[in-house]
Amino acid sequence: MKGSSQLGLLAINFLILSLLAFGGANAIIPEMNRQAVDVAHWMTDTQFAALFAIAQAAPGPNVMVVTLVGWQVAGLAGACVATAAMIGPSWALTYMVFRAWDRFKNRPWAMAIQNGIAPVTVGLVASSAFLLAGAADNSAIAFGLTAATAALTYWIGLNPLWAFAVAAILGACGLV
Amino acid sequence: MILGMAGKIATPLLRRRPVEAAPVIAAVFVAVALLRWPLPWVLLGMAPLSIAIGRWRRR
Repeated sequence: MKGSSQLGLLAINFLILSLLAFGGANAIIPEMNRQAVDVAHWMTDTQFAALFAIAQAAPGPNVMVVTLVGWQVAGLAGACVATAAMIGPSWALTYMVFRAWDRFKNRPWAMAIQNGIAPVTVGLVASSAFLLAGAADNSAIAFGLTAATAALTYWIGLNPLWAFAVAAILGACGLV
Repeated sequence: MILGMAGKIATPLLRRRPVEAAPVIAAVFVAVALLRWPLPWVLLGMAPLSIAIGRWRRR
């Protein structure tokens, strides 16, 4: 019974999140974190940050973090339910909106919506970065690694694999 | 990486439309990251406001 209620909760949470994902999976990380850590108490902040790191390091889309959260909560069934709830509605909505959007994209109101949503998305991605950095940076070296990766990504366009390699080496040496 | 990405997508927006974009970015950041308000309410409040500011600035 508890398992099925967890699956139901996962489905409802990710269904709602999928309809709010302006700017992709990275924009809904704060809400996903809030639901998983503060509201449902499925995991700690640090566990959430670790799942996010695994999802980023693995090949595949950003939305893989959803699958991992589902897995953590209710195993394989949780992973399947969370992924389907996240991808299904937003896929259908994107398909429908894109068809309509193509017809109206040059109208002033359509351009106003597009321009208005952009700063909101940036604020959400910045919030994701802040929350994940707060959960992951529990030592000076971790903080330094976050700052260095952010700076190199911003100014040089660093390939993420280099950051993952350095972080993995530091982790294996027990420094992070 | 997300921190760097946030900087990268914010820079052109802030260069092109600083007056309308900066307050919206800051307000969303405060509401979501610092106050931990639920995303649906933040979007319901900020998305129409951001669109309205954009339209008003273009007049």
